[in-house]
Amino acid sequence: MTTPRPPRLATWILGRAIPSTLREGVLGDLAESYSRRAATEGSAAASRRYWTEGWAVVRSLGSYSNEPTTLTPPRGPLDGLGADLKFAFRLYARRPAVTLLVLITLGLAIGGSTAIYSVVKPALLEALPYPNGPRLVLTWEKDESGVSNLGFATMTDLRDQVRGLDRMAAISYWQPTWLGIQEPLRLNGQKVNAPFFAMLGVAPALGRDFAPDDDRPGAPRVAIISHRLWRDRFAADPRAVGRSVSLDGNPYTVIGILPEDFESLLAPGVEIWRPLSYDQSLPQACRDCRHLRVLARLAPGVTLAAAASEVSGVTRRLAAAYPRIYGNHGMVLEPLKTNLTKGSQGALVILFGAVVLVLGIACANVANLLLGQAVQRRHEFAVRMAVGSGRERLVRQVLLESVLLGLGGAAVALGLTAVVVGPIRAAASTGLPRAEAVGLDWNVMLFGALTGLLAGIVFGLLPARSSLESAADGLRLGSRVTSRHGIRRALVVTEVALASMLVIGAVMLAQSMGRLLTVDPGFQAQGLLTASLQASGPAFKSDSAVWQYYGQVQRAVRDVPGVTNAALVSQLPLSGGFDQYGVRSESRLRLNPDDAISADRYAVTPGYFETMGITLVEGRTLTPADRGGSALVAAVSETFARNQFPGKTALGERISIGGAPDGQPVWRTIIAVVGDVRQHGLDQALTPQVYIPFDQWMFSDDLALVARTGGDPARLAAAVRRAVRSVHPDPTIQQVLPMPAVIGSLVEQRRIVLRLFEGFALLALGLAAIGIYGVMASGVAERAREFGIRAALGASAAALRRAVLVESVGLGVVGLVGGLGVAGVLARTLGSGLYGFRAGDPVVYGAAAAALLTATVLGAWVPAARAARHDPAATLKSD
Amino acid sequence: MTAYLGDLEQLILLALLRLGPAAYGVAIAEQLADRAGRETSLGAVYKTLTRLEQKGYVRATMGDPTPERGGRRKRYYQLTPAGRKTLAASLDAIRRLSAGLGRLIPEES
Repeated sequence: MTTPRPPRLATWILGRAIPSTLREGVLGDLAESYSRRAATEGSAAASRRYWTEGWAVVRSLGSYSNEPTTLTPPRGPLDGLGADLKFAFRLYARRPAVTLLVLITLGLAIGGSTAIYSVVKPALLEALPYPNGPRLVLTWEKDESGVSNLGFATMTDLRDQVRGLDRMAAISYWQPTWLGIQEPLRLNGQKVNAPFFAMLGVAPALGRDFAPDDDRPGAPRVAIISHRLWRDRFAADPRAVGRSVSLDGNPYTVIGILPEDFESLLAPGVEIWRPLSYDQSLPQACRDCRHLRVLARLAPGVTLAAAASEVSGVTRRLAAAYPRIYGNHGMVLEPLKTNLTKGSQGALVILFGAVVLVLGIACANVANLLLGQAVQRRHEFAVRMAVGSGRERLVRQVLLESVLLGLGGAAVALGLTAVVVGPIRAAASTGLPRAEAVGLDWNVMLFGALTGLLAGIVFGLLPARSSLESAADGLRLGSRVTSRHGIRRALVVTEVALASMLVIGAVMLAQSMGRLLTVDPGFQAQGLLTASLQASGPAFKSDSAVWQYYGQVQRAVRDVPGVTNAALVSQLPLSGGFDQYGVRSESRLRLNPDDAISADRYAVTPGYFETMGITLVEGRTLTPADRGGSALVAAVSETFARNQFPGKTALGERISIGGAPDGQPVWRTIIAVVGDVRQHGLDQALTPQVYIPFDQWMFSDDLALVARTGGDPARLAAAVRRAVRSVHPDPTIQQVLPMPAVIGSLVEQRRIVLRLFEGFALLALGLAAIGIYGVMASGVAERAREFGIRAALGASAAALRRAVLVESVGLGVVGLVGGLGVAGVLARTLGSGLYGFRAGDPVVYGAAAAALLTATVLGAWVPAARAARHDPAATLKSD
Repeated sequence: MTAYLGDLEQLILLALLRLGPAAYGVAIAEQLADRAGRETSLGAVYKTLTRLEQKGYVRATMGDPTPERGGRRKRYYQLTPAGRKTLAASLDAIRRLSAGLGRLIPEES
């Protein structure tokens, strides 16, 4: 006979339900009862008793475990974390409206920070995406008028003589037209010296790099293409290496394909590279043909300063050898990264500052909300303390709740960022470095999560402190807790102050933008259609063929219905390009042989001034009679005339543009003075300008087309394009854009910054209004008795409403004064870079004050109405 | 400060004194049933014992395993000095309160 044993399942369950300290003793006792009972009453009855008795033990021990003794302070800092988490989640679920408000607030604020960070990270924070990035420097010549590119001979001197720079490559623009495919394609390219890619530390993914032999005049023509061009135009075919393509009518062999992740930082969008193939014998290789950008690499261990001083030595020797060329020129080395970031650094830093302010306001707002809740939850805190919860545990609970909210906000923020990162990348591509690298990667996500965590701690600290105070006095029922009001008011004042700074920033930016857009460009932008043309291919080998073609294009476009006038020009104003030459005036040259002025040169067809709407100040306009072979003429701008011929007319004076091929200046007679045109940007200074007939130059320029139209120029784009192609199928016509759109893209980066800033300012205003609402609403609720008594004593509803509004406006004014003060100081230091900035502009501060006070009143409106509605009878009865 | 003992606490402390070194769960429950006529579940016994343990009035030691307990050890309880003192004070209060009231309190058979 075997000894009967208690049911195994019951033992197993009990073993898990009974606390470990008691488990063995209790299970043993139960087993002992079982075996006694089995002997007297039988095993079935004993089993039944085992189950019921066991269940009773678990139940009584279970209820016992809820008694205060288990609420002894946790031993480790993480004990009971799970329970706290569960509690926090239940708390949020019970108040979905508040939770949602907090999550949206935080989501927007953290999302803004994360989105801006995703732009700032590649543009400013990250190293250049080249293995040798930190050692890359640009080399410029510099005189009192600014920096300029280098002539080829200067570059070779530096390359051969400066040991601190171990590699050097000259870079020049190249825009070949790919012929022999369905429609001719204009490519963005660069001509570079052979060491270019090796200097960056980049090797082609397929094929080979340029070799020194490729980089000589007359060498077989070769090209390296981008991964994208390879994918889009060669269907990613590995046999593309070795293929021949026809560029501008010449065969080029594709020798290499760059890696997919290669970023062309010096010239974004470049898809094809060829060797520069200069040598000293070429006319364009001269010392004062300053048209090459020069990139160099610091030798290992050589500092920028050491290399720069070596370069200065070479410059001094050059100046001694060629005083006319280098007379007052110096040379500067600029780290590539500095060059790439300097244009956008200010805007990005300011935007980042703006989002930090928004984040600060959001934190203040959430802290405010949680403080309000802490007051409501004072009984809960008091009970927790009373049943043995320690202070640390209480603080931990409150902080945990706020950190969870912060992380929840970060999750919302990352969702928002994922949505907006595409548009941001597109917007960034109009002017920010490394726009292609903008994205939501793990680094950005980590930033968002950390921001959420930090925000959670920041806005949780005040409520945590407050919860302790609440716990201390919370059990005194009926006590009116108003002590937190001071803190909450301070928070609201801070919010208003921060918001007013943002509003001032937005108003200043908007004002600057408005002033910029009212700048007169010197021509009539409305109704003007522009396009760039390039005559290339076998039919355009001679300059005369090109000139003839341009004449035909002008006539064809003038015949398009809706076009009232058309002309061609070598440099479209405000297009980003320019073409400057040294210009000498005959009458001044007699006084000083070295006297030259740097001026924008334009080659134009007759009718250019009329088409553009440029004022003719003096003289006669260019006519078809001013053509190649007839007397050489020029028109100059007012600034040019004033600078060169002060106090007298420029008409009839003779000028010479650029270097003279055989040492003899080519004199052109000034026949007109025309109005100044903004060439380099609406916010840039006016430059001296000279215009010559397009076929009175030593070579044919690539010209842009301008057409004056009656209505919306965009509607005629297709017709103009057809007209151009009807003349000859080979030349490319690109960027057919209305002039206002060209100007718009010029201010695009400012516009984006402005829009973002406006968005942040509006968000800040909304948050400040919510903050005011929260404080005033709870203030009114807590002071229900006071309002009731005042109503009972005869105060009118209007008087009560006014009392609340006045109080909130008071808070608003305190915040405003602080915010305007700080903003005034900041504006003085940061605003100087802003177009049309005036320090202490009353319009700016007035607008900001009006916006903030409106938000304050709006926020306080509902609480004020509530105060006015107080029923004195109800108050008196409740006491 | 006078520490108060609950009804069951007092009974269990008395049972422990009575059982001496043989006081463990089943034996205590039997004592309560036999001597005090009080059927008490093991759960209630342990709940009270644990509370007394935490108040510092009893302490537990583990005994040897026996076959009828499925090889598990007994958990023996005994009074601590504080437990004795508190029990004495508690009984003393009852004695003082009941002194001279013999006529009014009917004897149980």
